[in-house]
This record gives sequence, C-alpha cells and structure tokens, in this order.
Amino acid sequence: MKFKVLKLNGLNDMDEPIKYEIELRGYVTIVSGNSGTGKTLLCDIVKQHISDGNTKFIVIDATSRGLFDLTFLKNKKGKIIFIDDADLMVSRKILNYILKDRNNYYVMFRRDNYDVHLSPNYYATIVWDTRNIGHFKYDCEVVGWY
Amino acid sequence: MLYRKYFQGSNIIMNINLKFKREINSIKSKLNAIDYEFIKRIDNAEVKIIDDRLYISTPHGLAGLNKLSTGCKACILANHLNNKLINLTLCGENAIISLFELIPNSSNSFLLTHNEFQPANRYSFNLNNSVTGNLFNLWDTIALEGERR
Repeated sequence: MKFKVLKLNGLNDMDEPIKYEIELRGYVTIVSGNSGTGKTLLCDIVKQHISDGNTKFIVIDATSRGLFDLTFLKNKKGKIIFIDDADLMVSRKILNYILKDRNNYYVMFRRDNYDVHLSPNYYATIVWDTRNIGHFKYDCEVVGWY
Repeated sequence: MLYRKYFQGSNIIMNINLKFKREINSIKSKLNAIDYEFIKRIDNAEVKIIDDRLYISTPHGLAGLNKLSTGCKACILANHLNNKLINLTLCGENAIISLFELIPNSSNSFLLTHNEFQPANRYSFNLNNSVTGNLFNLWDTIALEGERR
C-alpha cells in the first residue's frame, strides 16, 4: 500500500507559520473529531496554496454553495479535493460518486458517517505534534481492511 | 428541545458559518462572559483587544473572530439568538457539551444528527418533563419527537 504524503506550509491571519504533514491512505479520507482541532484551518492553508497557483488542490466549503455539484466533480482529474462542512455540502448522490471515484483524492470533514461504506482505516482526526505542526491520526490500521 | 431529523421551517439555521458571517458585526459588540467561556473551552483561545480591534489568541497565533471553529460559532449564535432551530451537525462533542452546560435552558432548539454521541451516557436530558440518561432512550425519544412534528 503506497500512501500519498502532503506537506502543506501556510500562515494564519497574523502570519504565524503553520505546517500540516498529511498522509492520505486512500482515495477518500474522512476527518472528524472535536471542534477547534484545525479542520477549517487546514482548508484555509490549502486555499493559500491555491491562491499561490497550485492547481492540484480544490477546496469546497460553505462559500461554494451552488457552485459544487456532480458535473463539477466529474470534470476533475488528478485533484486533491478538500470538502469542509461535508455534512452540509455533500448530498447522498454526490457521496456515492465520491466513494467510487478513482480519478481524484478526497478529504472530507464530516461527522455523520452512519451510512458511509468505507473501511475504518480511512477515518482520521487532526492532532498537533507541536504548537504548529498538525497531522492526521487514523482511528484504525488493519492490513486486511485496505 | 432536541431534534434528530431535519424538517422544513423558517427558523432553521442550517449553515452556521454563513449565519455567523452575517451576524458577526452585531455579535462583536455583545460578547459576554458565556461567549468567552465557549471560546476558551472549545477553541482553547482567549479574546484580546489590540488597537481597538477584537482578536482571538489561539494556540496557533492571533486570528479574527471569523476563524473560530464551527462548533464555537454555533454556541455563540445560540447564546445570542432566540427561538431558532440551530443545526449542530457540524459541531464536535466538546462544543455540544459546552453548549448544554453553559446554556442549559436555551430558548433555541437544536438539530443533532450525530450517529454517535458518547457523552450522552454521562448526562441526563430532560425531554418533555421525562428525564432520560441512556443514549438509546435519548435517541428514541428524539426520533419520536421529530416524527410527531
């Protein structure tokens, strides 16, 4: 199993450096956890990368309402797509597409995962090694479940 | 009142981030001790005023109020709004617990669609004058309330 590793550096509003070192185990990663752990902050950092010209990333959040649908996703190839507030933004139909899509990587920030058919190996939370270095901590790591 | 299922209504606040963005200017001037406690408990941050501007001092540096977590924004909205149905789907368990503890008799109702809510085992909830502390009883009662409406 080859994992995709992302290293994202960015700044917060007051120009303090923040770093995320993220391991993506599969095409879909679902990140949940307590409020205030840095999920939206991660999306903000990715947005900085996009505004700096990185075309590999896409961020979908509350402000994308109306711009994001199935056709939008079907036209994307080789992207890493971060979806904040995915409980609100992702309908059942779009979720079914995302779970089968092998053209893009998805990182969804989502809490209600009752009917999401995905291996427990792909569920993570954000933890901070030091004050400003965050990474994904996966709930499970079972070889047979990849 | 807690609801388990979404239903149509004019008083629903589904998208916490958008609502907070719209209300931020009026909320800024009304922040009180309960809001400060939410910010401290949920985001581990403190409110600071620098050059007459309001900031939050977070573990990752200073930021504006718009950078609070969604859970913290939901709690602050619940503290300043009345008779609304507020969607807590995007809130973490820590935010929901803080909300129930700091505003135990809110005039607002809450939509809670989490499929797991571990802390429910540690709390008792008063639903229509019947007290329930068991997670499954709680969900059953909430589901029934949702269906009745």
